[in-house]
Formats: sequence, structure tokens, C-alpha cells
Amino acid sequence: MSFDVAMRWSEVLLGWAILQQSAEHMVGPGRERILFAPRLLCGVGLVLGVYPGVMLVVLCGLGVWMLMHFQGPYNGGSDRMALLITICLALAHWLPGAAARELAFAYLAGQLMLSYAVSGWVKLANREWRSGRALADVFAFSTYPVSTDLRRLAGAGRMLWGASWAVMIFEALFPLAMVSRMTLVAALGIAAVFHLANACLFGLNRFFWTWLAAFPAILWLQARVTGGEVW
Amino acid sequence: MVRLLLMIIPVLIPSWRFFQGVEPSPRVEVWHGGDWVAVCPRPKRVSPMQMAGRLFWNPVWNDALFTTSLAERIAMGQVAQNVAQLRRRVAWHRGVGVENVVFRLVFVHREGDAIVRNVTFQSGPAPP
Repeated sequence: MSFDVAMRWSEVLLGWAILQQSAEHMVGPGRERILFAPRLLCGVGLVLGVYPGVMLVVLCGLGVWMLMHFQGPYNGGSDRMALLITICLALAHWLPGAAARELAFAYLAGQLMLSYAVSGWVKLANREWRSGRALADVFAFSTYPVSTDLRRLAGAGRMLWGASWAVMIFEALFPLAMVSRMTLVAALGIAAVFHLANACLFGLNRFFWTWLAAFPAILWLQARVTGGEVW
Repeated sequence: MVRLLLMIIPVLIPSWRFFQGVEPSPRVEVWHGGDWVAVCPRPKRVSPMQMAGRLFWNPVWNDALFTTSLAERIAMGQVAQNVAQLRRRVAWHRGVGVENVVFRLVFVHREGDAIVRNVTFQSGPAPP
């Protein structure tokens, strides 16, 4: 995957994520419908490849406006990640010189890697996560389970212990997947399934689409760093 | 400007400390028909087909998550603007006028083996 192709894939996936999020705001409280319409159009433009550099700059501005309007992120980490991807892609589009452009895209790949690794390390350091209690509490009383039936999973101690360790080990060891293209593709496949499960069980659909948009950056970086085959 | 920078820095240098621990979890309840009821009650069951559909279209749930973010901000003392914002969202979810919304925040947490609910905030009627 060449730099230009990876950039284009990220733009298309980010455009889709922004389009999907913005469309949801079209049915939201009054004034927001008007304010999210230009963001939706920029998402469409990014997917179609219509002046992507301009779209990215406008989306950076709209992303900052969203932070101000909602006094912080509307949808937590997914909003922050969407804006980080937008800023990195805009810099990778407009910075002078190939090295600076690559650095901006590589920064996105590095942050994607950290998003898994740091999350895994802080869980491993937490006794509640190591015992499975934290995940049980997520099902027992957090706001996330999408149905009351799902709360019964809080009693599935062994399964939750196994799931907790699977998540912690996968996240903490994610950087090791960079050793080869095959391991990275496999790790990203597992990551996608992980985000899909979070979307289904906890309704975090925006995280799923947003994180996918950063995958091309890490695929490009892995090939760039290891000198492996560039797709 | 400083406030804006404080919002942008976590975007550029994220902490990524997702789900480090399970904090007390807010519920937003509204006064309706002589009782407190959940603003966004969960369904008993969500089918796999509904889950698949919600990957593409989930506006009510995402806004419900935002109401819990607002509840957490109010609990941290950022009251005035977030109360007004939360009142607007509650009115939208319930399909009523803002002036009819009186809500309270209940935080649910674990104490030993028990799950405990504490009311931490109750709004007055909407200002005229």
C-alpha cells in the first residue's frame, strides 16, 4: 500500500465515519441539524474524493467547533479519534515536503498503536481487571449494555475473566504485531472484531467506523519501517 | 483561548486510558406522572438484526450516552451550562417542552457486593 493509496483509503473510511455520525445528528435537537449539515457534506466529499484536502481543512474547523459547542467531545474517544485522524490527514495533505507529510501520517499510525497498547497496560495494572470484576461491573451497572438481558452476563464469572484477559493481552501486545505484515493484518482483524463486539453489546457504533479509518496508516507504516512489500 | 487549548491538547496527545476502572455510573431520570422514570430506558432484548442496524443508525443511543457525559460534568461541578444542555436533551428524548422537564441524576456504584444508587443532583423547574 503506497502512501497515496493508504491516504486515500483513510480519507474514504473517515469520510464514511463522518457521514454516518453527522446523519445521526440530522434527527437531533433543533439547531444541531443545521450545524451538522456541512459536516455531512464534507464527509460525502471525502468519500467521493472531491477536493479532499479542502474537505479535511473544513472538517478540522468543524471538529474544533464541535468541541466548543458540546464543551468537550460529544461521543468521548470516538470524537477525539475522528478529529485526530482529520488533523493528521490534513497535515499529510498540505505539509511541504514528503518527509513531513509521511511524519504526519506516521503519527496517526503511532497513536493507533498506542490506543490499544496503553489501554491494555492500564488494565493489566488494575486488580479489578485482572480478577474479571471490572468487566462484570461494566455489565452489572455501567450505562453501556444495550439491553437489560445483557446485564445477566455480569454473573458469568469465568467467561468474563477469560474475556478480560483476552482483551488485556491483545491490547498490551498489539505493538508486537508490527513485526510482519501477516501478524499486523491478523491483529487488525481481531481489533475490528473487538470494536464490532463493543458496537453490538455497548452501542459504540461510532468507535467501530472511526478506528477503521486509521487502519491504512498503520499498514502503510509497517511496510515503510520494515521495508516489507508495499501493497 | 486557554479553554480551547485544553480541549484540543487531549485530541493531539490522547491518553488512551479507556476503561481503566469502572466509575460510578450516572442515570438521568425525569419526573413524569408522579414518579421518577429513566429518560432512555433500555429494551429488554436487542436482536442481532437490530444490533447490525445500529451499526449504521444509532442516534438515540448515542445521545443517551452524551446525556451521561453531561451528568458526569454536572457531578464534577460544571453545573450551569450543562444543566441547560441536559434539559434540552431530556426534552428531546421525552418529546416534551423544555419548560416541563425536571430531572435528577442517580449515580450507581458498587459497595462491596452490593450495587448502590445515590441521588446526587435534582434540577428545579426550567427558568422562564
